[in-house]
Amino acid sequence: MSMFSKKGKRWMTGLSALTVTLLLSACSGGSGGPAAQQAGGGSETSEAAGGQTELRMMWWGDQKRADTTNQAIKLFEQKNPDIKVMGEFAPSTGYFDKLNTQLASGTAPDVFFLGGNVTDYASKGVLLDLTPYVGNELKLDQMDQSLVEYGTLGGKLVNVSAGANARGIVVNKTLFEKAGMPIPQDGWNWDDYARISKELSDKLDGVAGTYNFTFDGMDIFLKQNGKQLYDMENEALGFEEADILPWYQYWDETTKNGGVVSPEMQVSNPPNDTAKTLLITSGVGMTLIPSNQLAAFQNLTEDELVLVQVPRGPKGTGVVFESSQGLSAYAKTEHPEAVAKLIDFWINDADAAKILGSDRGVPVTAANRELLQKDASPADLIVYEYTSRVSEAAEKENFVVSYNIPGGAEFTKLGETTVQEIGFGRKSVEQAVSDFYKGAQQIFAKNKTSAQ
Amino acid sequence: MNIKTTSADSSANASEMSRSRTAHRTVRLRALLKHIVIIGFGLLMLYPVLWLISSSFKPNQIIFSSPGLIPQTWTFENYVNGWKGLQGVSFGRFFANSAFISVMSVLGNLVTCSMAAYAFGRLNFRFKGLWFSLMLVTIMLPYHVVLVPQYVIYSKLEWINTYFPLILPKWLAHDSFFILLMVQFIRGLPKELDESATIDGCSQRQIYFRIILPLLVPALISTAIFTFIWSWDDFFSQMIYLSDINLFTVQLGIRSLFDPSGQSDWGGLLAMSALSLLPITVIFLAFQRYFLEGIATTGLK
Amino acid sequence: MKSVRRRESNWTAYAFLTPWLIGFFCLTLGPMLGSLYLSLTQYNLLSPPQWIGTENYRQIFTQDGTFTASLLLTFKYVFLSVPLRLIFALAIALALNKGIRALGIYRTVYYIPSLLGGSVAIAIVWRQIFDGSGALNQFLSWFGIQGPAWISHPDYIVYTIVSLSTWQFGSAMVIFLAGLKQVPADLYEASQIDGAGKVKQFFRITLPMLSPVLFFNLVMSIINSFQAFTPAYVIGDGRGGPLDATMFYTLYLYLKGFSFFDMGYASALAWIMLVIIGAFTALVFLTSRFWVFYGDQEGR
Repeated sequence: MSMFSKKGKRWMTGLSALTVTLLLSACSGGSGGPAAQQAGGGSETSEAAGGQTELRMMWWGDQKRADTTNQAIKLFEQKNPDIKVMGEFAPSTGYFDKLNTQLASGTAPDVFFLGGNVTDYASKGVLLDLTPYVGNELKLDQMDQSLVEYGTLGGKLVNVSAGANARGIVVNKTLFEKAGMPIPQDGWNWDDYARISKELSDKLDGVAGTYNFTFDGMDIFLKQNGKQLYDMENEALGFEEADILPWYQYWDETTKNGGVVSPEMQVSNPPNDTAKTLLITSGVGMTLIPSNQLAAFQNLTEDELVLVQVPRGPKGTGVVFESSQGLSAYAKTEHPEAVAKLIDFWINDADAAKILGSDRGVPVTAANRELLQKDASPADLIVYEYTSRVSEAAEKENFVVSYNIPGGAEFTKLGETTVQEIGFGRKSVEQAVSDFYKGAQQIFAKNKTSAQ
Repeated sequence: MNIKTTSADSSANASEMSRSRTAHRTVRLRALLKHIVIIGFGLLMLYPVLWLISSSFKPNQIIFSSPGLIPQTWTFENYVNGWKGLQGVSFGRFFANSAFISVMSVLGNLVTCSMAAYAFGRLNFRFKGLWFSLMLVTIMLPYHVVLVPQYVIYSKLEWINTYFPLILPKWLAHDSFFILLMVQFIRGLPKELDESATIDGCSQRQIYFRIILPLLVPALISTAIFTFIWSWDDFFSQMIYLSDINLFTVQLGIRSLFDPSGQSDWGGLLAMSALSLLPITVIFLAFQRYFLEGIATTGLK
Repeated sequence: MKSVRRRESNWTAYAFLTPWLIGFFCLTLGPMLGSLYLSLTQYNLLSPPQWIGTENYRQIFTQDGTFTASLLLTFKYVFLSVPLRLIFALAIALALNKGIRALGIYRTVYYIPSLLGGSVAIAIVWRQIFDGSGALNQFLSWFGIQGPAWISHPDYIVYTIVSLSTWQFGSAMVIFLAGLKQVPADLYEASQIDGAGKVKQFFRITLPMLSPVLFFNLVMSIINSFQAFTPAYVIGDGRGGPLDATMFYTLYLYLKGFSFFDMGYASALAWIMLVIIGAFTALVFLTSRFWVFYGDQEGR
């Protein structure tokens, strides 16, 4: 028995030693709680040995993008031996959860990619104003002016586009040939679009003319009619309920006439999901896509896809060059100059452009676009041809850039729900649009105040 | 403390012997029927998994266009390509990383949850009710709202991009699920066992090691199986805490093959998903035999 | 004498509890209290939280239609999926407990679905089955039934999610198996001698002996089902759609916190959920006196 108690004592001592160690190590950090988060400041980067500056950079995307991004980072390190870049890649499904967690805890990467949701981040003061570095580390004179403007929010340059695209109608040429119908041409209007959708649906079994893009195309429709989604200058919604009602009615009618993918199919086979979309299974003839997605779709189907300009409204197509995603710097980065250098490299360097290709959209400088166009793949060539057509058109009829309204994710959810309410027959078009507008106002008001 | 050892097999044999031959035939017929039902229903259960496995042998382009169960053309390409992994790090590394996290988590949960469960299930101490309720309450708060404060703690400890945030909680009995599981099993054990042990002069610690732990084996096995599998399948915390590709796990690797807006490598994804089932299936197959009646004893020797 | 013994017991008990206590105080308590505090603030994740008192709670209870809808949907899910899961798990565990060849293989077959967890592969596979033209509807069409699009119609998608969670009954089954393992075989022998039939044995021996484990499975299934997130995330579009048919409570909370940048509101939602789950758990604990039998109870 005595043997046991001795052992027992040792056991207890061991346990309490463990306790103390753990308590010390775990509690010394302190459960800081959210209040302490902002005080915690600074990203985790620091001067590495040998006076090297260390940066962290985070992006999302597929494997090809990860590989090219890493290559570009290596090249940057070669050209800037004093800067080391740690690439952090997150699967697209978790990217923003991770980014938000890091931002909330004050440990965000020095540079990260943002998409259309940049307005949400800009309004919360977590993005570095890059204006002081323009002309020095960061040269933007080669970049399209509209894209520079896109990243300038509230007078601050907070996002530098890393790829441009222009939305257009993707047309499945093979299906049109099968139906014996002519391929739609630039310059068509929305009545043509509805008529052609229906004709294609009627002629081919199991094929719908178009996806329903009531919500995704709403900002384009507004611009075609001289309005906009978000009037950034005046910090107000850029449209009234009456401005969007005809658009919803148009889609409701087209759907009822039988030219549109059913609401069920739209849910189970969303247009922009490369695994599920009917675009790659010859299930749909046309839809609205950002031009940089064309190659991804084309690689997954044997049908031939082409891009046609969006049908025209009273003021034109409403389509401009847009940033598909861009680079932002963390407001608390310790190395803003190095970050500016990296961003500069990303958009201007010819070798970088060759590595990165048009995966995030076509290059944002005319020089790099020309460079890449020379040996582009057939699918990419369609994109380049299309984007230059859009540039040409934009010279004649210019439109402002579309911004997401603040609270973009909630607004998108509301918009999708509205379209489904109409599609599944839960609400009349008038009722749904009226509720949508009220909801949009609420979301806008809430996110505007939280920005201050 | 001598408790009888019994085997279910022996009792089954004894009762079977007494029956007549005709009865024997109906018994066999019934057994056959039972097999058929179990297999039939099992196939229904397995259909999705079979689809996953068969599709992983289909060429990438036809996975979605020909969704039948039997591939018309077989290819191992998905496995070869998938195994190459990402950014120069192969899936072999991811498997090793996942295995390390899972094994460490299993050990942690076995040691610390059983300790806590013994205290809650058998010992009397002050504030027991309070601690017990708190233990339960911790799993009632949705994870997403404690994520950010927890992340702050780990980042202050400079443990981001390490396995500590994934493993350490398991060594601090963080999984109330397993504590309660073991409490329930411990409370199911007859108290006379430890009462007689106390009379024999065993301390409470000895009772834990000599009586409770051996009798807790089924619950410990369940804990081991679940901890292993759940750590293996966990995606969210791994994604949040790990950034270095060399630290990536199987689940992170699989998700990285998938990008709804880009070009997902579906073939590789399905192949690696199928492959990732292999270790946990083997673990389960190996451990489940501890639940087989008749192998172990139901009491103490 | 007794007090000495009691003090020793206190010491030992706390020694056994030490790891849990450290974890609780260092890792769990802080973040929990933190989220309680945040629930009383307006907190957009990226700027410091602003104290607004009980405003979040007021909004939730008076203005938030999605809160009510998601709560009702979650209740529906809990009441459908918990019994289904447990019944399946218990039935299969009993069938696979003993007296049949190749048990290990069968058990594994029935457990494999649960191994898949919330993997991406599940989403694809489930679509192959429950789509408008999926395997299920092809099967139904043999009987002349035209099935709906189970996975994309707002009226049916919740049942698809329930079927997914029922399909993954493996962990409850394993726990039942472990519990069955603990039932002393001599009890069955004795009752067999008494001439009790299988049904009688089940209700007289198996069920009472299994009740602590059944209790565990019930409590855990309730807690987990109320917090169900992955099935809705995997089967739905991840944003609660179509309409709000997959807007489970925890999904709503997650969207509020991480997508809509309203972590204060999300924290308030979380604490409301905690109270609801706590109430249900307490209820199960209170009733357990009447149907759960422990080995440590007197007079069994």
